[in-house]
Amino acid sequence: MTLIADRPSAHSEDDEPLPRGLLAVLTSTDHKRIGVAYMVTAFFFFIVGGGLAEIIRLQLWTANSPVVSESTYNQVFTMHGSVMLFLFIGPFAFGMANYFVPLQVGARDMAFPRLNAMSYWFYLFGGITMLSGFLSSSGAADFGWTGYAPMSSISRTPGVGVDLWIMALVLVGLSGVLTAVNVLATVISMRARGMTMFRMPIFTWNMTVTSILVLISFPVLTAAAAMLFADRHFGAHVFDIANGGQPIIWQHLFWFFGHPEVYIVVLPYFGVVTEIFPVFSRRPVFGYGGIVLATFAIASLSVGVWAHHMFATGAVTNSYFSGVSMLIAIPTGVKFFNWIGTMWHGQITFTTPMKFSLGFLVTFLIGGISGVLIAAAPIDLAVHDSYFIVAHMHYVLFGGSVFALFAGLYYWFPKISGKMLDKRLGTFHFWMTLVGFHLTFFVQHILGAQGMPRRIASYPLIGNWQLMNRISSVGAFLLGASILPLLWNVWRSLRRGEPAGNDPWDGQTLEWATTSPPPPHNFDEPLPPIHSSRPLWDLKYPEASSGTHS
Amino acid sequence: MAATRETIQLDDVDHVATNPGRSGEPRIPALAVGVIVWLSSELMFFSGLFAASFTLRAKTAVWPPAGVELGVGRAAIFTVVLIISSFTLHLAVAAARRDDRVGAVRWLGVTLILGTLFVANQGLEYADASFSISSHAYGSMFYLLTGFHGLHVIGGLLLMGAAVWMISGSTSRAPKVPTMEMCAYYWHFVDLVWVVMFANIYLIK
Amino acid sequence: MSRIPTRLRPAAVAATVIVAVGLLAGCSDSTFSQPDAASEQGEHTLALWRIFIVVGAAVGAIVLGLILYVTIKFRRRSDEIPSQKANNVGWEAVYTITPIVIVAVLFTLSVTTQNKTEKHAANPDLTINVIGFQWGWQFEYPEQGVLVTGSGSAGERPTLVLPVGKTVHLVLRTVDVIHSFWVPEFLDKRDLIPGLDNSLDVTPNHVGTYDGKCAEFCLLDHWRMTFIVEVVTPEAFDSELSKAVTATQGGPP
Ligand code: HEA
Ligand code: HEA
Ligand code: CUA
Ligand SMILES: [Cu+2]
Repeated sequence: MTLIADRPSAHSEDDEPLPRGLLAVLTSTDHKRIGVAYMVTAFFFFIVGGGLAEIIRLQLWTANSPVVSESTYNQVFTMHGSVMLFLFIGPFAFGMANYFVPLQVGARDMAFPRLNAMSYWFYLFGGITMLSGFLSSSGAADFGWTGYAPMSSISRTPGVGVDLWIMALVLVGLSGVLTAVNVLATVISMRARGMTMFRMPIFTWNMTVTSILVLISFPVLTAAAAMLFADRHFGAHVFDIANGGQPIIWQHLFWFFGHPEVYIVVLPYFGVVTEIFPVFSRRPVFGYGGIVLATFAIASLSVGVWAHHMFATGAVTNSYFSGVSMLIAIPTGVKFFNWIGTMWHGQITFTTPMKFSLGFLVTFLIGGISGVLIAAAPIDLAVHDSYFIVAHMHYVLFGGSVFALFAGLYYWFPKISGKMLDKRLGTFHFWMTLVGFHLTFFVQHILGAQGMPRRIASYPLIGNWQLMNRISSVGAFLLGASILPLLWNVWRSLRRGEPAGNDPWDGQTLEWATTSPPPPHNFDEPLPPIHSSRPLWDLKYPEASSGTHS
Repeated sequence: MAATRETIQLDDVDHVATNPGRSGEPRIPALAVGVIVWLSSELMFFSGLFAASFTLRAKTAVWPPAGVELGVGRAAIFTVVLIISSFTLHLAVAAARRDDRVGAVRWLGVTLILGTLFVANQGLEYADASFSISSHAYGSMFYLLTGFHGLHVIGGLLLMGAAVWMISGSTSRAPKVPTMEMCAYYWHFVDLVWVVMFANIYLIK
Repeated sequence: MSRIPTRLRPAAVAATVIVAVGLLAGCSDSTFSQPDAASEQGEHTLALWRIFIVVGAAVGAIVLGLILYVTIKFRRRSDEIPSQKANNVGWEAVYTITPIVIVAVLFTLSVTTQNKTEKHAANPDLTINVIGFQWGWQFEYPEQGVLVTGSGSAGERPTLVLPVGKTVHLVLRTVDVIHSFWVPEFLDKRDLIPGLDNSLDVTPNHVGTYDGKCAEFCLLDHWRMTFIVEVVTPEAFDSELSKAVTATQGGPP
């Protein structure tokens, strides 16, 4: 019997272990090294962005009594949003994709390893560029992560921080596009023999669709950024009403990017939990075809809803954008029920990845539903630009993406490091995160509905606003502290963690068929034969192999 | 996708060779996927600029503003020059496929000259223009559109220059056919963008 | 809770607490945290808000119930390999079609409401030009020849006087960046955008004093760009208006 599927044959000479040390990491083109570099860097930006969030919450602790000046506050929330979205949550997903897409499709590397290294450098450089705005005398960009024209004109925000922000957008955008090119080429051209498109694990599928969205949306932001830069420095008037320009163009282009962006930062994480639910229920993904279809549906709809961020402009057809936005609930709902269906009749174990995945389900659910609320134009006109929106976005961004990110971290850490993370610390981290999160953001729905605007450096003492803001701040401090058990867990594990072995979770997909960490070209042993979307499971449990979805 | 199919047997990029695809089924080489996908992102970039330009046109009563005189005939001539350069590049690729190095270099050279003529004309047009990027929103869009396109043309010229250098250097073992095909994809794309731009700027009134 | 294993108790408790706190907080008032509407348009929006909250909470509760049910019912009991069945066309149809129906209903309600709230009266009773500037407001009453101006940066809050029961047409313009006219009690807001003429019709239906604010971030003093809305009886309108003028003086640059 032969288990050999398509195994790379030409790597006998270059099999010696990769060089170690910092320099080696920096010069490596190995997809796993680059993946880890991405994830570590992104996590660093998470801490920076989180630190900025803590300043926001400190500022809002007391009504009418600012901690930092209003100008500093504006820089802080602008950079908080920009860092989190551009430097943390998206790039972290690209890091996971870098590491796991080649493994999951049985390839030895990404399609273009050197291009891959280059995208990482663009990203890092872009991140440093963005943050360096804080060092300039006029401070960092301060017009919100959405940078609406004409606030962004050179006369109103002359600071060099704004220019650094624009350049960072271009660099990070370029990095994202290059990574997307790489992921697509890998998925289309590098799959192992037997790994048909419809046998790819869902994480890989979701990264594929995410990459398509990146290609559609990032370049539009680059174009907008280029025009803004030309307006600021070459005397152009694209957004300048006094000379025939139109500020509203910025909003259209920004949200044509910005809305797909929010799915770019959530689809990969949908993929992560779709890996986790089956493994810890010991079942196949329920409705594989439906999930893939739903992902495509979400992606297609997401390029047609941008103006739901612009209901209040009076310049768009509200009912159209309202309707299409609500439609997204349907494919997302399909995913939800597929996840529940995966667990149905399963043998569920509550490992840390599973806990975070369940936390994701519950929290994202609330964020999704508040999304449908604000997709109704009249409701949005009531709560637009209030804390209700801040609550919505954190329920989906943190409750969705970040919970799933933690799930993925606990799930794949053993593969990356060869060591298990401690379960008790993981449980502790989970409960702290869950409680801290809901404390921080639930009350913001109420604050928003009661009329508290977002992006205000100080609020008046109305009703029990101060109490609610304090609840939110206490939650935020708890949430900030919750990364300590995580960091401690990672640190401890790396030094004296329990060895993980190849397949600690009884996994189903190819990454668990190799050593932990995987060797330089990923698979030293022959790949299991690939007859379904879970080759490893079929190999381990031939009597229970589904062999379905071919 | 006839063009992609042809490249399949010709491609000799290392990782594709070691990973010959499932059950003998032809597989699109990664390089071709990468370039096409990259070009689609470029397309979105230009779409962003076009979207801005169309919106401004729709919101402005007089477009282009009074005092803007464009040499439509001259631009049309150089549009034709650019289109011809697509054909000559195609001939260069065909020559490379026949393993005809001299022919490939010759046609590449012709393409380079045509492309340079195009850029040179654009430079002259800029110098002659009665308006600048800061005259009005129309001027801004004119220079942004043609400028970014021009940068892409210059990028293409550098790429082809590199291809000539790679092919004519006798020691080169670079896989020249795929490289040239990718150059060609890019160049055809840049041409196509120009045709749309020409229609938008010079024809539609 | 006796069927729930000890290991799961904290999970179940936490979930219950979250839901309970959420519902309590949300239901503690009949408007689900929105202010009582003070305009006819606002009443429509408030009605829609109530429906959406109830439907949203119901959908959320059902899905949450399902999640809790599976995690409790199908927790690992043995090493036996569970059923590997991964499709069920019937259920797949149910869980695709049900949301479609819900969304269709919600969308219809939303559009119906929108047609009422975004409607512009053919002959408004009063037209007011609202001008936003960094960082204050100017309310111009062309028919009365009255101009009320106040700069939030200077600590002033200009007063917008509106007659109750009359449909007021607000023309919204800005002299610099984008601002947004928001009165929470009207459950409505609209942006003031350079180069676009925006407007809003409002029919106040409760006499009272309300806070208005700028909702769209507009740099430094955005948070101080507030105003007062005074809804008065038509009889008191003129005298209130003349008081409003003397109260504040700042102006657009
Ligand atoms: C991860 C990111 C993410 C995700 C996934 C979403 C998902 C959704 N978002 Fe959100 N959104 C943001 C991030 C995200 N959003 C951000 C960052 C902003 C603010 C930007 C800024 O201004 O700074 C924003 C703002 C925003 C607005 C503009 C608000 C405003 O500024 O006034 C709107 C309006 O329509 C909206 C709608 C939606 C909808 C309808 C969904 C849907 O996709 C949700 C679908 C999911 C579900 C509905 C739950 C599961 C479904 C079921 C269980 C089926 C049954 C359900 C029903 C039938 C209801 N979002
Ligand atoms: C993935 C995206 C993401 C994530 C994870 C978060 C995480 C958090 N966010 Fe944020 N947020 C956004 C995306 C995100 N946010 C966006 C897009 C905006 C809109 C911006 C705009 O309006 O332009 C926003 C805006 C925003 C606001 C509104 C500001 C305003 O409108 O005035 C608030 C207020 O409470 C807030 C709070 C928080 C908190 C408490 C967290 C917590 O989860 C953070 C937890 C903290 C940590 C995990 C790290 C703690 C680290 C330390 C304590 C170490 C200290 C280190 C240093 C000092 C360097 N966020
Ligand atoms: Cu004006 Cu905010
Ligand atoms: Cu959106």
